[in-house]
Amino acid sequence: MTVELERCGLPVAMISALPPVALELGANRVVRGVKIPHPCGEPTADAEHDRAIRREIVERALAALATPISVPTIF
Amino acid sequence: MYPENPGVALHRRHATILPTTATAVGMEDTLQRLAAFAVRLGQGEAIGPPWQAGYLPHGTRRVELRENSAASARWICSRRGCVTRLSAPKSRLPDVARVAPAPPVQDLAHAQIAIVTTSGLVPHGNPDKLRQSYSTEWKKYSIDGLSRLNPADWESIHGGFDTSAANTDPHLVLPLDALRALEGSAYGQLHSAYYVTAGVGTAVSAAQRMGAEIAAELVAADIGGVILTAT
Repeated sequence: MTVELERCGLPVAMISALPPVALELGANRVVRGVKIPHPCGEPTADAEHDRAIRREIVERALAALATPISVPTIF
Repeated sequence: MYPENPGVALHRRHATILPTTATAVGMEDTLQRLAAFAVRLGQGEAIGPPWQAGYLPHGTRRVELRENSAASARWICSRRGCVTRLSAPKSRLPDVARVAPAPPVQDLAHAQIAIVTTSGLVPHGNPDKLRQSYSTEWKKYSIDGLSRLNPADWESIHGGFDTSAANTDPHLVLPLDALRALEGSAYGQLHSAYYVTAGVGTAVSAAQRMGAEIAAELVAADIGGVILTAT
């Protein structure tokens, strides 16, 4: 899906707990997530820490979208 | 492994992988092939090319000497009037298309960002009956005016991972709270709907079609960039 979106000129920041798999599947902007069942946070952490983790991941994804790249990159 | 399993692409160069059916239905046949193959490996037998020995291609080529040189083989063939054919692997891996990276979002401060997720997050009760696995369809749901995802209103129906954490806090798979906090400062605005499918056992061809369909909508909506959360 990521490939098809990028094919249309839409930059995609793919948040994945398995960056090597995301790269194998053709994603170009890969953002390292936490774990497969919870890529955007850490449920075992306290609520505030969980929110901070999530915000940092989203900020990284936004930075990835704004970054020119020529080869697949992990952010 | 099923040939479309992402683990195949990840490990086929280092491991010898036998193809299976998509579900456990073919396990009996698989185990028989696996046992026979293991015995061959254990006895130190030479394992032939994948299309003869029945494993998934390693993605490498091995040089081997043939009985006749290419020239004499061609000569013999032309004398016999036969047509030479290349042996083709019986079990082909799906071709994963690659595209060059899309240009970055030019003006992030004013760009509209959309969120797409393969986590199977849907309104509670799954009103549209999105499939839990082997998805062939996607849905979009409005998040217009929503600042948070209340766990009472949303659930993940994904059939491929433990959804208990996502069902306790949907933000773990769809970070709406963080996106709202950053909206208007770190980026322009969030698209009014999110797009969802359940990414497990999804055929590559189905994923490609769904991606193209979603892309067409997002381009029409003047989206500058996409955040895709994968589980």
